[in-house]
Amino acid sequence: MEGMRTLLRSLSLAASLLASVAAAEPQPGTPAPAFTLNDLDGKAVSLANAKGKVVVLEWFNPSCPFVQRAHTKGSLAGMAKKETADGVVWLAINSGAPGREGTGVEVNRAAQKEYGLPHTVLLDESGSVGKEYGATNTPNMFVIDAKGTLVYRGAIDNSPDGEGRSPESGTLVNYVEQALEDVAAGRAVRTPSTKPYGCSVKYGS
Amino acid sequence: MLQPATAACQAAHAEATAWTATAAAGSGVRGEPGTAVITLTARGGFHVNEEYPLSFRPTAVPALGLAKQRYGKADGLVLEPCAAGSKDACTATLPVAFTPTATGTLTMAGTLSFSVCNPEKCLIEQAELGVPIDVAEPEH
Repeated sequence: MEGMRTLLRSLSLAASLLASVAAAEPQPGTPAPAFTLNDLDGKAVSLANAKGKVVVLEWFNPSCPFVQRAHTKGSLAGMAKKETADGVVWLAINSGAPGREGTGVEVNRAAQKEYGLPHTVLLDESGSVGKEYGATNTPNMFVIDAKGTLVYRGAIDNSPDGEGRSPESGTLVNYVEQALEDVAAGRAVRTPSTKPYGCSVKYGS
Repeated sequence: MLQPATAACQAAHAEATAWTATAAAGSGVRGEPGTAVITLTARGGFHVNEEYPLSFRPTAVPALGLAKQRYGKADGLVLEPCAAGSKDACTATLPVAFTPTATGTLTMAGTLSFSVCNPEKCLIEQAELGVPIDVAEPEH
């Protein structure tokens, strides 16, 4: 009996530890972690600069075929341009380590031009911001409301082919667009969390 | 003197050998159901990207009696691991059901869409496949 109690205590402790590790990544309803990263011109950009505005963070890798398709044929095509015109702050973040796929100023600048991105790309070469947010894929999207609260994290949409041709429910849902609509309407985000799809973020380690 | 392969050349070679895709079918009998099998094999350190909606879109051949215009995960896709205990799959097989309405040699052709990945990159690919199916009259 004592052995059983010890086992149960150990299992309970292990479960708590696992829960605390999982909870280290910011979840919807909690404050979005602050960060400062350099853009492609070396200028420092802070999340705090967008205080009082709705922010979209897009984890980005210009060499990832899912990012390429999303920006040319899929849900991200023209989206940032439309949303930034409505006052949303859109930041693309590349957490790839130097030398890995899609990294470097020039390849990101070329993609910025090719996709007509109105926003800058921030380089997170150490991966620290990506890991703090728990970004796992490219694209991996986060929406932060004007109070600085994370309200959505996950995939851009429900079509993991990147082109919007294979929506899982049969109807294409752009989760970021949906979250932005909900925030603008002052209601709770309908789908606060989804599993992102795409290439793995090319962290250094 | 031979020059060492450049990194770009090596990368291109790795991508060119990252997968194979085949279609196989036995013979068929007019009016009776048959099955062709599409097989995707990831190689060279790549694995099948299970998140990607693998699909086969056959070319319309009315005499072949294909049940659908698109076959995917919900149609009996089977994934096999790269090695015992591996969480990654290296083989995907997809059955394609048909019921021929004519005899002779019919060709089942179509486009397989899929993705394979290794730790460095993902590829989204399409393969044009085709396999002849000899359809006989049913025995009476």
